[in-house]
Amino acid sequence: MKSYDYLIIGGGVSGVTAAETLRENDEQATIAIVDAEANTLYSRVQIPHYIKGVKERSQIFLRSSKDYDDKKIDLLLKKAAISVDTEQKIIKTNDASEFTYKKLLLTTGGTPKKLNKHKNELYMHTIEDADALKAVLTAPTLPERGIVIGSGFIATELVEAFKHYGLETHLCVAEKGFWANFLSPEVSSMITKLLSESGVIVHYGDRDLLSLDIDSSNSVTGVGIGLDVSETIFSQAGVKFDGGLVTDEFLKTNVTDVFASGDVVKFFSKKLNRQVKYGNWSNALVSGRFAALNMLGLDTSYDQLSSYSTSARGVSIVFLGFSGMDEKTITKTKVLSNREAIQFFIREGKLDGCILINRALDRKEYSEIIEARRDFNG
Amino acid sequence: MTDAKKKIAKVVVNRDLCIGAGTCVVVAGKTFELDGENKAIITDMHGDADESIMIAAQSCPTQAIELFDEFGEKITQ
Repeated sequence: MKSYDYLIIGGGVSGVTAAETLRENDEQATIAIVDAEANTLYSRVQIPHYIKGVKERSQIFLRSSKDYDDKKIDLLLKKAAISVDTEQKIIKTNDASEFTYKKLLLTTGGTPKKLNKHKNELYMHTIEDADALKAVLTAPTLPERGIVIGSGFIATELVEAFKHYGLETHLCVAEKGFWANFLSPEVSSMITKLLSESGVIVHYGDRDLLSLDIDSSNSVTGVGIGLDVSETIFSQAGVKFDGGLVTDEFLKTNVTDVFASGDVVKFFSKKLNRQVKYGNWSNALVSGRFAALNMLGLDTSYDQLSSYSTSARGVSIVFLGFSGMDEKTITKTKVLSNREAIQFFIREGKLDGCILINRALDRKEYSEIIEARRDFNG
Repeated sequence: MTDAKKKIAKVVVNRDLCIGAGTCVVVAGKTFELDGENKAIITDMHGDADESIMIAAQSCPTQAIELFDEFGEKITQ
């Protein structure tokens, strides 16, 4: 059984950043990354570029095997962790390997929720998913229609990809409006209108979905209905889970010597005085770095203000801070024109986050308001 | 190997590659900012320590940030 000082489960940007930060600060430690996938680090953010042909497949890889070797980081691929014994400090993987650790980082990210309703459902999560999508979209006979099911970041990227290849593009959202669970009806309607004007055929609710002949041979179906965070093996190991792996401000879980970072962590934000969870590149990368510093014993509070943006058919959408709802949160909407709006998430008189529609320039102003914890009523 | 110890004299953002993920702003907020088109711009070439600017460049998910030393040579990230 191989033993490591630092063992990282998950080889995405958070895990790799953590491993490299550990190495920068500790030349002698033994470090390993265990990952279920078969690849060195690549940029998931660039998958849409690869599908659209803007980037070659090789260009989206951010590390080669040599990079790990040079830093003496063992990259153990095609190994999915199946159990964690936090008493004995042993992890087991699906190929019957076992490893011991002194300190453990959980950064497994999420896996796409599967719809399993239609034949040939395609996803956009791994590079292999991207290969499959690209094969369909660059085949000699192109499907006429691209049907996107879902409404998250991935769904908007699927819309972009289908439109890029000239497909008649449908966006099917199970809810009654675009991001209806957290956008006000006016902002939701504004985005729907902007998408429709750009040639996307938008359908809401199950009834609309049923009217489409999704399984016909001239259609390709892309699914982007969100990510599942796998809790099972970690909660069995006693790590507290509440929609994410719960940590303190130092990214420490409730279990001794077990840390979490990336999309999977729900950390305590001192600034916002609540547990928050983000699913974006910056958070994954920076939390990986902070987790490593804390694994090294340098108590370093992580409280990064989240910022992420996407573009749906030319509509710029920026998510700033924490835009989640709870019983203490109210939302307010500011419509600035027929294509610009801001939705605020206000909790106990302070701004926790906002969504900027075609108002990217306002990012700085609202970042400062969130950071300063000034009184805010919209 | 990276050229982490070289002095950074020039920072360039490739706007065609930038998607506004904003990691550079998080890591080196006195050097980078996002503009109205949601693309990174340089506000102060030396706003942050070289180490932070280097991390910002390495952290960019689309590898849109290029760094050059005082001789105009591209710094390997």
